[in-house]
Amino acid sequence: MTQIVVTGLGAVSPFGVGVKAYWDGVRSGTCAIRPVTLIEADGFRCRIAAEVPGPLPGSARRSRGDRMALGAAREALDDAGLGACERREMALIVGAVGGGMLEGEAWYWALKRGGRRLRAPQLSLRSILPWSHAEVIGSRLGLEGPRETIVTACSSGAASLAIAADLVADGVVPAALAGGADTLTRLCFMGFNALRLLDPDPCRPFDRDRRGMSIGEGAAFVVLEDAAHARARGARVYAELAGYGMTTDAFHVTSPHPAGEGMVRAMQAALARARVEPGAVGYANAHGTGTLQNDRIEAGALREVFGDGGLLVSSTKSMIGHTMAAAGSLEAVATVLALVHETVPPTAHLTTPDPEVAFDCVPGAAREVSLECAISNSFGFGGQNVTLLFRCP
Amino acid sequence: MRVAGVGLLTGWGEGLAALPAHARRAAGSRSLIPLAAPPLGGERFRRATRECLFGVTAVYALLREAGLGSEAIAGGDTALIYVTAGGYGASNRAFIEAAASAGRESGGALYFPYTAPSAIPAEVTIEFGLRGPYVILIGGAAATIEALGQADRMLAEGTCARALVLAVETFAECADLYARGRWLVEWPLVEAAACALLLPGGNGMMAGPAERASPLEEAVRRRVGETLACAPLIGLALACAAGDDPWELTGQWRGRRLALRGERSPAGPRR
Repeated sequence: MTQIVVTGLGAVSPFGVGVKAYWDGVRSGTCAIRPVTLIEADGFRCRIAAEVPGPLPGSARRSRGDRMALGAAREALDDAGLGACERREMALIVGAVGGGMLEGEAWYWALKRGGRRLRAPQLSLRSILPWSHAEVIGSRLGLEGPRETIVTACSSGAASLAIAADLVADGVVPAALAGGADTLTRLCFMGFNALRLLDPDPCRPFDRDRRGMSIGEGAAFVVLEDAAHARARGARVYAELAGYGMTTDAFHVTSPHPAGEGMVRAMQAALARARVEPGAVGYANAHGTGTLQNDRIEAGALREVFGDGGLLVSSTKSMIGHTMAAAGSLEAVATVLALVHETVPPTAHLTTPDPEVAFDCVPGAAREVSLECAISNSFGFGGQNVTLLFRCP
Repeated sequence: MRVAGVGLLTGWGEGLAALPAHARRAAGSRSLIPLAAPPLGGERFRRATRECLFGVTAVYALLREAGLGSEAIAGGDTALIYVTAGGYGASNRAFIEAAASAGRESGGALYFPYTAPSAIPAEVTIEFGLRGPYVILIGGAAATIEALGQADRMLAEGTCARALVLAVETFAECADLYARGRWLVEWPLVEAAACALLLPGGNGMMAGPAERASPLEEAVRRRVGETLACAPLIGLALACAAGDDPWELTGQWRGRRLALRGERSPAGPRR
């Protein structure tokens, strides 16, 4: 069985550009959720979000999403030390939802309200749909292998890693760049506000008094590589992507299965694929949105799989909000770095643990701990569940 | 992989028999051939968008063609791979327009979830009880070629016992926006939903770059019109019906053309 390893990391997060800024922010438990500036938030119940601070990498003529995606992808490839020849045959799998919607919305609303023909911002409109990130990354960074855009809602970023791992494991390509990107959009901000899923204050996952999620934006990419290929070129290995599970609830368009049945199967599938016993997993980077329903159901699913043991659970979203299509990959990067640094990032704003959550959710401050394996959970609208399992190399 | 059945709805009607010999001639002056909303009703589909109904109806058409009941695809052993290029445009536009005209949080809590492309396959999983691996690809015909290759790999690995590849494309609600694209001038836009049920067996296939359109790709465009992500599945239906051996599907999207070649004749759908 082909061993898949992580040899490169890249991130553009609400803590800024680069993996270092992201890990420093996450490890320190800093909250990057602040008043929204990108879109008009007056009149909304919630007026905060985790925005990526400027300046963004790349040309201002590109959409915000493309610039974040390109910045994170470039960092991951550089980090992996892959040259132009090796890049050419790599697969590129991108999780995306919003694409260039932020710019597209602005143009479309102006058109509707103005009642006259407006000149379309060509580059932005060309990149309005989600596949734009893959096109831009592929063409700018010279990746000419298989190219896919995955849109499994909020699990897109994690699903991209799973699909990429398959391509490497099957020998289709020796290495793949996989990750996700998403920006704030009016559509999402209005929609989640309309659903009353947003907490007016920064979200408090796993807190008894949690009131909903915060949204955010960002991008993260990882280089996945056949371990033999990585060894042959002397690459640094961060971790092994030892297993993953992808399942569907077949229950409801928005609500998770009340018993977390699909979540349980995703975690069990990841363990089975990795041939790892539950006891070997020391940390779960939870989906942990901060909604009443998600956190309770996810905690129940974790308990069913891992029991009432010493599993540490934390939510990166407590600091950077729910970055939607980027969430799964940003959280995968945090999980890998937790293994590398043997440090579990905390859950911010967790002051009164929910008694229904049977785990130590690492409130407030990071925890140094010896780890062998860690999982990252991502769940999306439509009942799509993805669990990634990473192991120390 | 083997093809157990293909379900097909287009603006021309259900199945291959409804297709004209030449789409452009059949369309006359029409630039868009819409699909009528399927007769799925009741509380279960109260909020579902037109494109969701097309996805569900295409799978029912497949089951009829293959002589299978819903139980044949239910459960955790069936993977669903969904592809679309623009099948969520209508819901996104409707939501944005509602919000733009009514303001702020009145965009519609009921309709926001349907702006996600994943709403369509979600309705399919709920309707048929599909609980296995799940992938959604965005792109045109090239993405569908990738999806078929993905299904082949999942079947070969044993990740699933069967794979359902589904594509849905709708255009009517965004016809004015599509009309801005010059690339749509040559062929009529034809709304469609198509799916194929794939089983292990046969020779492995590989998706790879292609320099030119295969005869099947050309035949689909000539007979059906522009169906974006649905085209390779319609091509698969044509190949099955003709007993082509070997067969080659190609699909192009934004300058990238991919091919999937089958070395053994797939089992055709029962007629």
